[in-house]
Amino acid sequence: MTAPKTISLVFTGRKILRLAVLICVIIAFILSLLQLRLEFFGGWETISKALSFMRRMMTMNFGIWQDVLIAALESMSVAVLATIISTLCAFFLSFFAAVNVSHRGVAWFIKAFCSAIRAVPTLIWALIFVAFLGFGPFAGVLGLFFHSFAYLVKAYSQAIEEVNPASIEAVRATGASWIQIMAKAVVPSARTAFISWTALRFEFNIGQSAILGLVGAGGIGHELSVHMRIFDFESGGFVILVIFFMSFGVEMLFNKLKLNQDKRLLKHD
Amino acid sequence: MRIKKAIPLTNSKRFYGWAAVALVIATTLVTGHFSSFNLPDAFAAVPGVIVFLANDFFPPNIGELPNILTPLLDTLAMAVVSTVIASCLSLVLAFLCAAPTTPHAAVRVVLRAFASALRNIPSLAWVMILVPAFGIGKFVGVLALIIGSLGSLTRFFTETIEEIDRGKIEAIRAAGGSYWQVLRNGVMPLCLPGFIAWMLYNFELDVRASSIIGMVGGGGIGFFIHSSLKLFKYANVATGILVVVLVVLIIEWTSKKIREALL
Repeated sequence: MTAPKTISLVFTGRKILRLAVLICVIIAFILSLLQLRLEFFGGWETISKALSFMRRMMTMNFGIWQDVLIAALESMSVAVLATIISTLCAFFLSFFAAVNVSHRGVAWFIKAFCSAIRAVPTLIWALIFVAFLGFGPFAGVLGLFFHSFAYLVKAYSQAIEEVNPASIEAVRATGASWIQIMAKAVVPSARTAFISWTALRFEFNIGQSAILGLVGAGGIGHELSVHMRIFDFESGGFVILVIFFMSFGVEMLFNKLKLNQDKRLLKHD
Repeated sequence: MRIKKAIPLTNSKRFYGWAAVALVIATTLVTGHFSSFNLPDAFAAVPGVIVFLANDFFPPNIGELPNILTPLLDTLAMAVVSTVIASCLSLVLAFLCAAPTTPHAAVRVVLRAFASALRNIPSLAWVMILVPAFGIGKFVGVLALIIGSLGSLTRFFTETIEEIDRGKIEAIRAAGGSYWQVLRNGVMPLCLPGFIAWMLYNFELDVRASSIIGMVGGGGIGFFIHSSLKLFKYANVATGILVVVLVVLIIEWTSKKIREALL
């Protein structure tokens, strides 16, 4: 026999807090809907139109595969190159940004500087570089690099700060120089975290490189934009498939290699 | 005289170290070629951009702030609506998809593929897909955000459900709880902190995404930034960027506080 269902009406502190948060969320939701003043689309014809477009996208036009392949290579190159360069640069700077191995003021300054860079979305950095350097993947690489660099400095410095202080003390006690301490105590402990962060960022960069093209940085985003704008859904569908596989492929690859096992890595972008 | 046995090259650890370095260098060269990377230009570009920013972007044009207010509120509103709606839908989907609570294995596979398809296509790409049918504007933006968030949240929620401590579920089941009682008293309380964390995280992602989908037709502040850039009104761009940065930082800070208070 199941127990009778009861709802406790005792207002504990936590319950009030949770209820308050829920009410806030609901209010925010309603306010947002009002703010947006969404003009609801023109009825069911639009939905059926959308569905017919999607159906057209599913019949993919493989005929354009050569252009798409080159574009995909371009985008992947942008992502890979940006990740490699930003990893190298961030690796060196991160030691100065970690409070347990570097001067407090210096570390704070570097972190603040990188936070500022990180707060500007990647795409906007790419746009700035496009404005400065002109269209093309080169601007994309630099834009992506800038943001990745700032992100990885924060991530790596976090990993360095999580190193067991006892190991650092131990190596320091042997009279090692600063570089020797880094190499022998910090790097071995933080190495897996470094790799996980890099893998995570690389996954993200692959996704970003696809859309960089949508605003002028070349690559597969440009292909997508070109085909969609002329309503060529069959080709567009194929490009979307390629974009999906680029991102999905990297995800599967990293799952197999177990490079991104670090579950503490919640922050993105 | 003993002849030392030769160590095969691939047994040596140093070989792998140097092989990795060679691989990285080779990759850099290949990708550099495909992305038209120009090293001297790159070295000049980084300080060049900073000079460019300093000259053309500062001082930011404060006069534009009233014009930015509405798009900014739109951007935030889009993120809120998207996170709330996607969270509700994903909750249902996640329970259907997670290994301990799925009704059937086939459902699980189908839903995982579906969520994967949704989240591996960036939000901006979704905007490009939906614009031909729905036109440009905030509705398309919200729709694209919801679809993207649906994919991510379903995956995240599923992982949360699969990681809970099965022992407690067993205990409730052993005490005679029905399916719904197990769900309400066992699974939900265990999953709730994880769910809330992922929802907050998704909200941050959505704010970032919604601030840029305006660039391809999604409404919000992205449109302002993009059009100002095309019109070479860099001071306006600076204002737009500063506003976005401020909002993102505030939301990050608030989210951290909420996490500390609630979890």
